[in-house]
Amino acid sequence: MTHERFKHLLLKVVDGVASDKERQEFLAHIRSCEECRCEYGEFRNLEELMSTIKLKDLSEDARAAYARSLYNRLERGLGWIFLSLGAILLLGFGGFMLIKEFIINPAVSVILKIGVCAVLAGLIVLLVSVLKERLFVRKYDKYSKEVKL
Amino acid sequence: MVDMNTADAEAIRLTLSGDKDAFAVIVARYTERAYRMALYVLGNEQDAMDVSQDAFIRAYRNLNRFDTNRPFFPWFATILRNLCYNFLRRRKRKQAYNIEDFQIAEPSSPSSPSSEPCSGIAVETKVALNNALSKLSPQDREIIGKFYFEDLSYKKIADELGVPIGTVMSRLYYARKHLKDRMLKGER
Repeated sequence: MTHERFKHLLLKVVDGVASDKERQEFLAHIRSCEECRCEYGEFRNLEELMSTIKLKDLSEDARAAYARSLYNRLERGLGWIFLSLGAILLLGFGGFMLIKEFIINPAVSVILKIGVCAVLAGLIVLLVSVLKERLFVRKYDKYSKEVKL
Repeated sequence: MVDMNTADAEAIRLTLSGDKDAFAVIVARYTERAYRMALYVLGNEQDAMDVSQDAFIRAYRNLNRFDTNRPFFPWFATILRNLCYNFLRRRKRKQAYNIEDFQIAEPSSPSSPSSEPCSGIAVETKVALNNALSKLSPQDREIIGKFYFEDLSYKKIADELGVPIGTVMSRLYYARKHLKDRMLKGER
């Protein structure tokens, strides 16, 4: 009996789905092969152990809490999408107005322009730095990779 | 009587047509299975909650890509499996594999486990099982979980994994062999 054939029959016999002929073939083999007999015994013992082990069902409270948490997360996801869209629009419009009304306006002094640009540049650098740190310390990034369907 | 696939397809069609409550039917039906699957792959209750919820959120957002002529759960299980594997790859800190939800029933008779001459698995505990499972690959844990904790047949496992029954039997053989070896011989 080949090893492939043995492992195929072993599972069928242990799981009780072998035909009579397959069972006889298997039993004949293990009578003459101590190694396979030993493995069969170990598999049977594993089955007996595993048949006594179950996973507890979720309680009604746990199921309700799970559903609540899931819907909160779904809602929050939509909230983040709207917030991001709004922020992009406002920042784009604000940037446009800043350039139009402030940066290229000859009535505003150069010193004031440099001061405001420096404050904005500082804020952007700090924001990017904080965001990088936040992303780095996360234990995992849940949404950065598309699921392959 | 409406079969489950038809009921799922109907709920999904309603969800896609704007009835957000219809998705609750799908969530209620598959919460337990999704949570369990994430639990035996990840080995931690809180992570299993988070990742299985992520899978429902992904499924909800990609429902328009789901073919309603096919059963829902194998499609959903693919999303969940990928999220679990991504999660394990990205998890930076070492997390103990510890499933508190294992229940160990009293054996119906005090006979067999030690009756085999080559036996080594006799008085194993939840701790030993957690320890052994933690040393298996996520793929081995998944197929072990489907077989033992969800009581799925070879055919159902094959459908969920999208592989032939022969492949399921081969994977099950090696996964059970790895589990048995780790239960018998402890940490290696």
